[in-house]
Amino acid sequence: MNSALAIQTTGLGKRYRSNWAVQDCSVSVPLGHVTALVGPNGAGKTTLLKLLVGLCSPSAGSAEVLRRVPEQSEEFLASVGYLAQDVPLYKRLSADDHLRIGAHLNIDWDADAARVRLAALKIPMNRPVATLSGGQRAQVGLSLVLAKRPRLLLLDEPMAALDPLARREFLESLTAAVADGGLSVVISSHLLHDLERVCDYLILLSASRIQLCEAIDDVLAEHRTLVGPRRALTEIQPGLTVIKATQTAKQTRLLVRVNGPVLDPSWEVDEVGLEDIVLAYMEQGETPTDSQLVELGRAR
Amino acid sequence: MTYLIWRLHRNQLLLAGALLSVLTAVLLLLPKRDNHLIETIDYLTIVVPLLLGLFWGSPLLAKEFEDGTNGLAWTQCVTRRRWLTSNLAWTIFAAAAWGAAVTAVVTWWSLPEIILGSLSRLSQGPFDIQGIVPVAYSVFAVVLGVAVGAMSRRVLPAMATTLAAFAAIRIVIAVFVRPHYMSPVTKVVSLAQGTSALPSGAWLLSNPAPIGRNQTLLTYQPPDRFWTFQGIETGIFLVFAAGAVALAYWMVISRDA
Repeated sequence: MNSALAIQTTGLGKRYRSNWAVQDCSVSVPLGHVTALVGPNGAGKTTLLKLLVGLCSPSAGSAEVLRRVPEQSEEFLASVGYLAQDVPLYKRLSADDHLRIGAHLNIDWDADAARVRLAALKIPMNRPVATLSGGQRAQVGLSLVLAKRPRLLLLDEPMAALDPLARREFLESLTAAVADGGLSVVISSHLLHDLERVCDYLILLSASRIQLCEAIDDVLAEHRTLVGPRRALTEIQPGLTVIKATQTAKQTRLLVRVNGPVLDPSWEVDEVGLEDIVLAYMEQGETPTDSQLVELGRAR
Repeated sequence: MTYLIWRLHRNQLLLAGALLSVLTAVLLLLPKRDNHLIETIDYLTIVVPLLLGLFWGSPLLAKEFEDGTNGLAWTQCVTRRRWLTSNLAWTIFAAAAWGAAVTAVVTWWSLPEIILGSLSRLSQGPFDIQGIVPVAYSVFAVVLGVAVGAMSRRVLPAMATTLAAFAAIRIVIAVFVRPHYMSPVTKVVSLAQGTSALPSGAWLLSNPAPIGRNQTLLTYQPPDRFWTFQGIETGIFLVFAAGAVALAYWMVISRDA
């Protein structure tokens, strides 16, 4: 068991009736990273985060968060901060009320830092939060969860309802908090674009399964596009894993995971951006595989 | 937790306090001789436990589930068990206190009218708004509302279910079960005497059954069984309340958020 892991799951799964929201999920995330949890809508991001914070119990496998099983204990709850989708707050209470409540419900509570943050953002402290804008509510939610001084912060699409300016402010706040040290973060989104600047680790979830879980630098280093004369996919050198293939009459265009140098000189090799890589994996999770296509062809 | 509960529900508590003051003021200001009006107001208090169940019990957790704030509360440094225990404890305390206060006001102001009216203290109506049973009804109503709210996780369905379930249980107990808490007493009296032969305030359970030419059989519960019956009915409703509490814990602790 590695003590430097923020999150480790083994075969983790969650089933709602007959549907698996998350299936066979094994990930390890070291401490100290800001991790993007990316996947299309309905891929299981929310369920995975709820499993990690103990709001759901797993149907299969196990999870360890900061070396503890997510459970109903004060020690575990104190170490993890969780901001749910849509930032639920008590609508009729003010930001100030929420800070007071937090002080009563937590062992360690940094109210001063939260007040300073909210004052700097000019967020009204005494108005019901229902009257605040979405961006302001998200900032209140973030301040509350940071005031707990968690070691791991789990944020579920905190920026879904925010305009671009509010998104940037939110990410700046988050980056500042991470810079203060000692904090690991997992932040989910169906848009990678927002997260690329702040995250250095990636979990890609598609169709309830983990497609990738590694440092973003490694992902970038190991993926390439190959463009060359048309050929069958079976003729490609071992060690290249095809993630996405586009065939035209004359040309074959591949997005591959490389494991060593590309030997065939007829390929034109190019670096590829994170967004393209992520999209390719998402498509892979959702489109039929080659063998399924063959089956479909026979059926016709 | 106490602070959270107070902060979330203080308006309801203040409203409840205001309503109690209004009830007291109305009873005080009414002309004492208008027995009929006072009786009407007394009988209106029969719905107090139901209202507590509907407006305190049902929304208590259902509102949190509807707004998603349970996820907020459950990820603070508070276990779900502690969260539910505090919520239940304060709600039960408030409901019991309020139920007791209303009963005390009604009893203090109008007990003579109720006893001396044509109805027995034991019969449906007078029995239900006096003594200790209103407190048990209030406690059961709120925990039923809380449990149903934890199950449905929606405020309006929880209120509808609480209304139906509470009314059904109360009626079944009061009409079909209460007469059998203790074996009724039977007495044969002459037709001329009729029910006037019974002790004052006895609860006549069936129509006089004629025996022979000038005698009749009366089946009744004697009035001195009032507190025994109150104790039995209180016990029944507290057992129901314990069941609802168990259901609420099960729904909150074992189900996913």
